[in-house]
Amino acid sequence: MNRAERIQRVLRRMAADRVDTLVAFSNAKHHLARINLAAHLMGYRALRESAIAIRADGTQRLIITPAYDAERAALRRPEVPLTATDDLAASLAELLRQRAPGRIAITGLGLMPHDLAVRLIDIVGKDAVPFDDAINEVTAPKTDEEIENARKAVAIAEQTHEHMLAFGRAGMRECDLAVEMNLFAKGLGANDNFLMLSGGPHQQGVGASSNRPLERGDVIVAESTPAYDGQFGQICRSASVGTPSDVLQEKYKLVVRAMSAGIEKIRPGVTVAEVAGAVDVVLTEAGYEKYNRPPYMNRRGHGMGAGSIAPGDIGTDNNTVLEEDMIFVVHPNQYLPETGYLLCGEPVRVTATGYESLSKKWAELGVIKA
Amino acid sequence: MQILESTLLTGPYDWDEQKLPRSEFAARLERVRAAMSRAGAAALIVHGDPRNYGALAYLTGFTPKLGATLALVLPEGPLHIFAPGTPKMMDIAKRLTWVEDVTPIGNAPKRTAESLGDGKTLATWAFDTLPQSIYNDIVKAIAPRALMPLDAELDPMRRRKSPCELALMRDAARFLTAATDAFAANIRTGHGARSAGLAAERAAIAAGAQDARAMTSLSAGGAPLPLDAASDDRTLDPVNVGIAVQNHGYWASGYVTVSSDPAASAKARNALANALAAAKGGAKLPGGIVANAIGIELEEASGASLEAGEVYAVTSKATEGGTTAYASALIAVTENGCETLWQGP
Repeated sequence: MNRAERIQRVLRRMAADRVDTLVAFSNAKHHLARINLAAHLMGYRALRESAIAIRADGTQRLIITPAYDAERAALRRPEVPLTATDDLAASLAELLRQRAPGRIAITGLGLMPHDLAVRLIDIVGKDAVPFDDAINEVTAPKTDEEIENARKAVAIAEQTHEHMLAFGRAGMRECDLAVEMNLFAKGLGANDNFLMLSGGPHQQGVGASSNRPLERGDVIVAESTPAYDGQFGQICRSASVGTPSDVLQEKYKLVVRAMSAGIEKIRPGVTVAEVAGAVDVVLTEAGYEKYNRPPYMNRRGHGMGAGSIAPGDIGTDNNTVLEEDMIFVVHPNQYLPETGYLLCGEPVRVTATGYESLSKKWAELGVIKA
Repeated sequence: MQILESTLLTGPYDWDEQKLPRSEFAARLERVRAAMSRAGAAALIVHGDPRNYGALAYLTGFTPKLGATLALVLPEGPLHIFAPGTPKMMDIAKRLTWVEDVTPIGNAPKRTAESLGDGKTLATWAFDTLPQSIYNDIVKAIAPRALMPLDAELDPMRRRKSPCELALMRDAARFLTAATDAFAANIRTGHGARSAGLAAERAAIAAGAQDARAMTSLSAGGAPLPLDAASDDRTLDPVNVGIAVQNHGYWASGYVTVSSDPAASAKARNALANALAAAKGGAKLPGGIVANAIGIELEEASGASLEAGEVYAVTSKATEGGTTAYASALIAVTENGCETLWQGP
């Protein structure tokens, strides 16, 4: 699927719901795990609040702020007519004045900053149809361009992890290691990186890196998620500071086995719940049934933005049916009483008959210098 | 200067009492509570997110990394922060602030409503950027009581820099010099704009910066824009760069032009020099010069009229012979003039 075909899916859904004009708003937050459907439809990471208007006849217009970002927007999306402005609301009002919008549907308004949202509501009307769920549903599969970008992002993540193992050492602050990883990833072509990285001898979870120095005996857990051309790709890894204990090595093999069981379930028509359930079964059989729920774990993976995060969180309560070209990460990310929190996770694409692993080498327990 | 928001801030954001002592925050809180009292507010709720966190960080030191965060201030007693993340992430969140009571944001509307007691008014700060959905949740929770924005009273307080804040900004300015020097050196040795931008960021971090963001021209002489669209495919001459560096929460930013033709740069520098000579509290900068107050946020306010005690990023842009160049400076404005914290080459 390419971007034009994605727009066709949107138009068909608009027709089914008798929508004449779709206005998708972006708050310019381009996050791994938060929905930004406007950015998903634009294929462009706006510097500030922006919108894309799509009419039922297929005509589109991108409205971006600030005005001086016009050169970048035109370079990124030359095929879409562009209005570059310092006043999103005024430009949208003008656009809708030029031609009667008919029945309007909207996405993303609830995430817009309050003062601007109030003006936008006045323009689109209080009776504008909330269309977030509809657009999220029809745009769940990634485009060919996004899939290729995800492959590149994951390749960067894998190289960045190898760099972490070589560069990290006891005494270094978590945040300094994280900054170095970000700089390294950028040097490989990443334009952003959702990097949760924390260390400790027995962690309850993973967090944003702090000023804490790493110590011998720590386990570093990292969700490394570079973005390539706006598309995120995540791997989850763990590494021991110094030689790992036997129990750590044994338990890490267990969580990798649980992850593998989940991934092996993946094919079109299977529900997300079945994938998560397969992860849980392995841990249950190993005697960890009570740890298959919060606070010992959060979710067994998730979709990868920016834009759409379909198929959502990988959990036993998610009955979303997998479709070809959905991409997501499967990560047990599990607390075990013997080791603390452990991370392993691999990103996958749903293929016609199963899955494609976007990572070349699956998780192994790493070791950094003590 | 506006930068593309990162999906997750990395770098040393934990509160460092050596750099921003508790007494600094105590003085700020006292001023804020005095404003609350004057306004008759039963409580104040302050918003911050990874892009707009000036008010929140000023009061609590907390820079939100993951999403919308709120701080609840009562007329007396401890502050409370509602932060994004799961309960087990709160220990890490607590490292970001001197405030001890930090809990997940989910129950913020209910807790806020309960804290009001018989009070009729909830004052707000930085709610203009609060996501509309959270805004509505709070309005609903406190109904029929009203929200009262206090931004007009509180924003000027945080723009006036203390000696401690100025010291941090002087260090940030030093890191900015490291970054702009690295950018220019890389361009002059034949590197592309994207590589030079990345080298600038790395140089600032190596010098001690907490965060660094470079933006460069996408075409010869073009406005500096985020690196995600920049390329090394061709050499640009002239090339403009905008760089922002952060030190313990305080930003310094500036624009520099690297060009083989000095005419436009000279014109921009002359205009900037004239503007700086006239800069003092109450002064208005001449036409063609753009300024904004800077500190915890890159753009704290317009610099249309300069105020003593505030720090400004001042930029001149000039075109000569079809070439556009920038010259800029960072100045601390006093009653009678200004101190230049940084000035580009």
